[in-house]
Amino acid sequence: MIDLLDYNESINHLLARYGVKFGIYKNGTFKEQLFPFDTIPRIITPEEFDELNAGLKQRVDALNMFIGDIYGEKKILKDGIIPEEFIFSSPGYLKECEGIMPPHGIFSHISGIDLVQAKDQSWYILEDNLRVPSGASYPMIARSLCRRAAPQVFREHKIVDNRNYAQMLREVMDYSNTGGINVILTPGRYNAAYFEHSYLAEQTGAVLVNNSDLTVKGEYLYYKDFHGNDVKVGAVYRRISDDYLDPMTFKEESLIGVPHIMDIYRKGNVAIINAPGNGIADDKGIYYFVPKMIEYYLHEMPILKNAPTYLPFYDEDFEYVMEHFDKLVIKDVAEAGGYGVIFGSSLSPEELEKFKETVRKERRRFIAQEVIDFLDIEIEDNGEIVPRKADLRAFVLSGEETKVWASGLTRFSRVPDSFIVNSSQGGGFKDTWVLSR
Amino acid sequence: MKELLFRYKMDVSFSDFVGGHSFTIKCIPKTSCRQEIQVRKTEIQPISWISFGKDSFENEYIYGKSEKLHDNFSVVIEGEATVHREGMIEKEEKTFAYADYPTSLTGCSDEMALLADRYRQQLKTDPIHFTDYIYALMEEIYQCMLYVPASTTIHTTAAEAFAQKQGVCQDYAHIMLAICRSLQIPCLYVAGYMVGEGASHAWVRVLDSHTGRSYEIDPTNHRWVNDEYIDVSIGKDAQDCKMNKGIYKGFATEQQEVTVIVKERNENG
Repeated sequence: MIDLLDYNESINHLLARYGVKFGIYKNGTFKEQLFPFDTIPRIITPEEFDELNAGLKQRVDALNMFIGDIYGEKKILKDGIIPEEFIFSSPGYLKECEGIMPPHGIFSHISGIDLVQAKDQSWYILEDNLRVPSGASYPMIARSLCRRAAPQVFREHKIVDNRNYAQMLREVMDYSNTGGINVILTPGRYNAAYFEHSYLAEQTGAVLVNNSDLTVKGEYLYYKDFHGNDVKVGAVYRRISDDYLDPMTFKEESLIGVPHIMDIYRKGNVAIINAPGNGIADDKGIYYFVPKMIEYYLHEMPILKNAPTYLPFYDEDFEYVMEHFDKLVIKDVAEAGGYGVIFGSSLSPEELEKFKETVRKERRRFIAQEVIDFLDIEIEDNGEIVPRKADLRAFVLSGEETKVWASGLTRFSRVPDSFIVNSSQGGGFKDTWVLSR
Repeated sequence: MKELLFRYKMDVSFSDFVGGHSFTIKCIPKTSCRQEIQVRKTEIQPISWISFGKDSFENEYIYGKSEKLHDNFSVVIEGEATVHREGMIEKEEKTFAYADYPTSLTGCSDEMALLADRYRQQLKTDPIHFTDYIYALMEEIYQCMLYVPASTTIHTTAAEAFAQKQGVCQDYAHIMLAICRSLQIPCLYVAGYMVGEGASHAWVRVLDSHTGRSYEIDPTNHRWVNDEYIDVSIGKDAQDCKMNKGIYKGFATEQQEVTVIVKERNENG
């Protein structure tokens, strides 16, 4: 371990050279910044990983069944497990996706599930990301640079090799592919995760494309290759959001989408990875219901816990939230990326009253959670080892089988005692080692 | 029952040449329990290719592209319709489309909510007279509003139109939908054609949850829908039923002209 620490600076230097950056829009301007890497890994024991593995697979399987049900038969609504209102008034629900069954019924091919470990060592799910979760490329490249810098560390410790992510991703694309090549659709180099788009394309052998490289003609989607030939596309791993995917179906003003892709997707003539409309399942309001979904669809008890969550929508929870406002963290269900998260304890008495009033008026818009006391993990900060808050984004891939990647993106806050670890808010990352037996 | 002939014609002229023009045309009626349709002519010009699709409301549409430069785009659809029944459907399934949550165009203003409140109690205690209340509500909207062509746009919300007390058929329908949804009455927007000459038309379908029957009503013309109306598409609001949508490359302004003619078959032999 000491070995790796010595290489902190040179690995960060290499990451910068490879363009491992994160773009942030702040006050209307685009700024690209490095995603600081800390060489001290997060370590997950084989026993811990067994539990995570089983729990994450179970969760993602249930979420996939839920999305299929919502855009299909809606049994979970008819049976009263989830109130209709949480679906139809959610911005994540897309009526344009009604009745669409994607290839093999898989909606969330790549799921980024955020977890934290509490001081008592138990893991809690914080959030499911089923739209376009990013981040897998960072531990991938960090691991390969670490191996190069200090190979002896990886000889001496029994660590599960995580260099199989590209292979797993490729299997997922191939499995859903409706006939044709695989492409990764990027909005371009000004996107926050452009490094990842290009890296994953290179690693999986998929073609990295912009929308102008793709055209729908009649029933199928085609990629125009360097010779000007039309090559049929069978799977699009798109790294743009639903809203911008097809200007003929969603936002008309989108200049980064592919006109008519939804028309042929609906016919089953191309796979879109992840499926449009998944936002209904990673809505912060729906999070509350995920353990119920697991019981409903799989008839199993949830293996992994949600953070204790209250829905002000229900009277009982509303009363509790109002009484314990200063002890809870309140989240706006429509926001992402660490925005719209407010710790009751951080508010002044006037702010607290004002915010309570907002929650009272828009009860469906917020959820409240108990603050979990994260287990601190060590990072190196200017030559000193200090404790910081961190989370873990685990990647679950759904193809012929559901598989959990034996690694993940550990993000940490560089600010002491801060719970906000999002890279868009200036956090750093670590490699995640799963130890083998 | 009426035998109708219909003709939909749209002409778009561009001030300059445009290309790479993607379009979606949703103006072809289809056979249902209310109507039998035979399309006699479909003409879209210019085209590189076209194809057919069905949206989440099961509306049928044509989509396609005109790659080459052009300064005019036209669509002609002609056919015959046998409209069997008035705007009533015996057994209508309550699909997702009926879920009574407001869309961005069909929210209620305070004033509309007050109007809705006057019907709330009656609908609950006297569900047998559902159609009477629906008619009365429609009548009230009709009387409040003034039909003024071009007084609103396709982005005008129900609340905005109701505030200015004027609008076109789309606004009348949106207002009625907004009020019905606030009363938890399942309802849909219907786009279609009616006997006469002019533009396309829009009205409302409401579902009586107690009987499973649905009814179509036309708040713009102050009447129940009868066999002079041809359904073209349904949706949650006008956004889902846009008869034509297009995007293209080029710096041009466009002028669109739509003419719909529906007449009884025997009128011209």
